[in-house]
Amino acid sequence: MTDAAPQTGYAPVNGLEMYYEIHGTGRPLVVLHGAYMTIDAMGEIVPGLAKTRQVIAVELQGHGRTADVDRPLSYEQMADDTAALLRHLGIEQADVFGYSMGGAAALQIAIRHPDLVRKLVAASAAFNSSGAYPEMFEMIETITPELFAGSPFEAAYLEIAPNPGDFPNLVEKLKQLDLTPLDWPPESIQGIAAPTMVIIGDSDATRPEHAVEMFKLLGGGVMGDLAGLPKSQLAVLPGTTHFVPPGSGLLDRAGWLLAMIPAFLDAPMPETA
Amino acid sequence: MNEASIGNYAEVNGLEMYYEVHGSGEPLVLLHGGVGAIEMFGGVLPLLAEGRQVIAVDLQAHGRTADFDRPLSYESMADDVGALIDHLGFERADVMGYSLGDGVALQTAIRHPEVVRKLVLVSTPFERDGWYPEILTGMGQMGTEAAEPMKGTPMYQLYASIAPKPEDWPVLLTKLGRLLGQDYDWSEEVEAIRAPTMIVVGDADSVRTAHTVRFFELLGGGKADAGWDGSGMSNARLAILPATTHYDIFSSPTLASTVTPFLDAPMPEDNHLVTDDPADAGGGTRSNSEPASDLPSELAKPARRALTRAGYVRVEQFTKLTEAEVLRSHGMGLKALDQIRHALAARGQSFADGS
Repeated sequence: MTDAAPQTGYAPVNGLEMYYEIHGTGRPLVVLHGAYMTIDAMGEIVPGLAKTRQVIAVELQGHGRTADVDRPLSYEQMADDTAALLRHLGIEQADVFGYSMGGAAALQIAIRHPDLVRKLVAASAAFNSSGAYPEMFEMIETITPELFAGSPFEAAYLEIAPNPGDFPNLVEKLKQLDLTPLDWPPESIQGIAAPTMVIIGDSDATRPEHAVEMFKLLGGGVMGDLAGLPKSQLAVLPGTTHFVPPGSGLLDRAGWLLAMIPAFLDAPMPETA
Repeated sequence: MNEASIGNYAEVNGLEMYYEVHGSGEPLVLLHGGVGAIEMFGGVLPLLAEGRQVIAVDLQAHGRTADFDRPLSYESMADDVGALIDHLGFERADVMGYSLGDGVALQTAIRHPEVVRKLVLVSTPFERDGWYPEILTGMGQMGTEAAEPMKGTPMYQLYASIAPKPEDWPVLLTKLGRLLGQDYDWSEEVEAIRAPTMIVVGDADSVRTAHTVRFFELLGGGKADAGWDGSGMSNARLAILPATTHYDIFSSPTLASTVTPFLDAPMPEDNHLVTDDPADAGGGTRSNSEPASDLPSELAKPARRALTRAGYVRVEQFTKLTEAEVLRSHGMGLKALDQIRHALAARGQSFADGS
């Protein structure tokens, strides 16, 4: 059943009361949202993917229904929280899809908890600061809580967050996260054993060169007709931005995403040599 | 899909060029890859033709278009495509090519910018180094010696079943070998392209992925985040299709669903295709340098251009020509012919053959 109400709950992980929803049945897929977002803000992705698998959608620290705790936001911590949630649910291995901040967290799950991850989809993610256009950082400097007044992000937060007054705190912590130089060693990406699909929009916040670099580290960048298809895949969506203007963001391309992601996840696992 | 597929020949630049028209709507010229023919697009062609008029062509020496005494070059094949667009009476058409046909499409936009509305480039580099070294080795082996070994391939079977002179197979391979062996670098010309352009490659294509990103940047893409309002987006589009190689991209249904929204989108307003670029001097301003013309004002641009090039600028000149002679000039269609016939009739004149 795809339209059945999801099973929801809170899991005590690493001092966090982490909110999750389980949609659909089948092979488990974790879905990780982007910064400032909630599960609902992922749009058609969650119900669409849940048609053919079990989607475990979570709300990361300080986001949506998961209250903040006294520690900074970090991709490593988000990865550890999500891994702990899977163990709490008794799930030994899952596919993982993450978008933007959730994409970086997904990479860290594969790096820090390789046994948990079967296949990985990293959308609009970067593994170092030069993966994003420099003007992104100038833009992030200018973000204030007031900038979100009346926005869907703020409205959703006020509606569902356990402590609605914490929104300025979330903005402050996300700015810190985004402005902290990111510099994961290429070897850490290279070491990811899980077959990985890298997805960006052609006008995304992540530069196309960076997506190509990540794809190469993951085994891509070969001539498939001679070498065979690599274990990893790269998709660049044309005419597609990171999130705005409305209707042009990566998550707005549900038609393309819901065709390519299940195809990637459902393909047989490559033989391990 | 309806069966309104019509095969025909057009005489362009001395070549009898085979083309088929599928579907109706805005024109899209579709160009196949090396050693191929229209057939190679398989199920993609009907998908493209659902919302537009696809004019699929067999390039020089390929498919049903016989070879003639001219080397194969991207430039001359592009001239053929430009001439075909004129011949069919279109002001402009979208042009989409794969591999060899992609190089031809690119050269069409470079050499004949006035006839190209939007451009779709599938699986080809803008310089020879964009190919993986392995494929360059293969290209180096293309030639007469490959003719016999390649007779076992589906490409040969297709060629043998439709070519006007199947015995020309070794000639095609020799000419292709010469073309593919030549070094080229079109980066400067690519930067000057004004037509909104979409690049499509597979993630395991024969073109290096990093090269494709560079191609996108030359066209103005990949330079900035889109920004809050999308103002950072250029008119260039990049699509990389996952789990796709050079030899399955052209028959992948994803190709059609990737390209169609790009072709359907309105033309960007800030794109002044003809009038904005000094290199394009022509189009709107060309009439200044033309001799006084009394050709009918309703005559479409391609027809007017074709006639002017051939030296026909006054209605009375047509009294010395037969209808058939006028039609032979590419750019001239039946509609334009009618318009001239009316202009002649208004003066009590007619074509040389009395029609």
